[in-house]
Amino acid sequence: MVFKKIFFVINFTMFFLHGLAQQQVHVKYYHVRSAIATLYEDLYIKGNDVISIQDSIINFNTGGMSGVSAVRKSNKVVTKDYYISKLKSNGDLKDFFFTGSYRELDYFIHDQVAKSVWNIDETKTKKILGYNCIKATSNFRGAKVTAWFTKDLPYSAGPFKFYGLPGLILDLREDDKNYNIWKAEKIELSVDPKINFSPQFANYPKTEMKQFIEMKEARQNKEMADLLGKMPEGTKMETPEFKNRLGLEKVFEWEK
Amino acid sequence: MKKVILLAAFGVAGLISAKTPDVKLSEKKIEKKTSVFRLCGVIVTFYDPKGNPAGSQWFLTETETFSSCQAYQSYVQWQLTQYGYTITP
Repeated sequence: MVFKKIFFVINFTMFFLHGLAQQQVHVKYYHVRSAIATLYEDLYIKGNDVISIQDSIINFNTGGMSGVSAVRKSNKVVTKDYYISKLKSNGDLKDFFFTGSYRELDYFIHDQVAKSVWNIDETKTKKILGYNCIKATSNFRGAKVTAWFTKDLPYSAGPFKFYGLPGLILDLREDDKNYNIWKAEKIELSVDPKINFSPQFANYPKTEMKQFIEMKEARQNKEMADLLGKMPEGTKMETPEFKNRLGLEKVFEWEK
Repeated sequence: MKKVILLAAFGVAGLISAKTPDVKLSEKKIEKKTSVFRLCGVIVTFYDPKGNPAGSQWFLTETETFSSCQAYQSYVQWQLTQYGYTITP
């Protein structure tokens, strides 16, 4: 009788673990990309595959802004952005393949993101969409961030390029900012079978993150110099130091 | 001859003494003019077409009046539209 019980427990555990490995999840996040733009991001996990898709429908809101916002016009149709990775990673770096745009061209970029050092505070908890979440803080590429993750969904993943916690991130925001926010609005324990976890982007030029950033910033600097030449005589340009990189990624691994 | 030399000397002395106040006067004018110039600027945050922030810049100059500062700020914004940006607000 005891033997039968042990056998049942082992079988049940193996079945449960196997089931978990095959589990699927879809999280829809409301994403505040910047002071002027909001959109939705859909994270899909199936087995070891992870893909997060930022929608091409972007809501622009410029009300209540201080200073002047200059949004680059484009004749090109705005495309979705894809962030592709694997759940398991070797070592302290994880490979991400993502799409990014500069001017009229979309690129397919390879990035290696260092595993963040997360400080988990088990005493700080809250429920998000019915899941028990725990607070964790970290420094992600120069930005102080606070995340809420749930061990009930034991996937070390999140939106954008976030990972490294013992559970799925359901809420993440940069500290003291009213943008760079991801907030889960819907969780489904299934994935649409039409979701392609390995899109190829054959027409996109392929590049590495370092090259992409250097190319982008060199062109931006040149453009600013050109712009200065068109301004009235005596005009000076100054960059507010604290706002050098306004996005979430302020310092990269190769710059440390 | 002596009279002529005396008259010439008075003339030169008169010219020298007459020039000095002119120089002083123009110096005063310059001082007055530079004192009213004020730093005028506009801060611009740049975004790509997807709403990603690309950077932030101050455009600065010196203007004499509030209205000339406003005109400068408007001109910067107009120049940005010429360069392919949509400006808000």
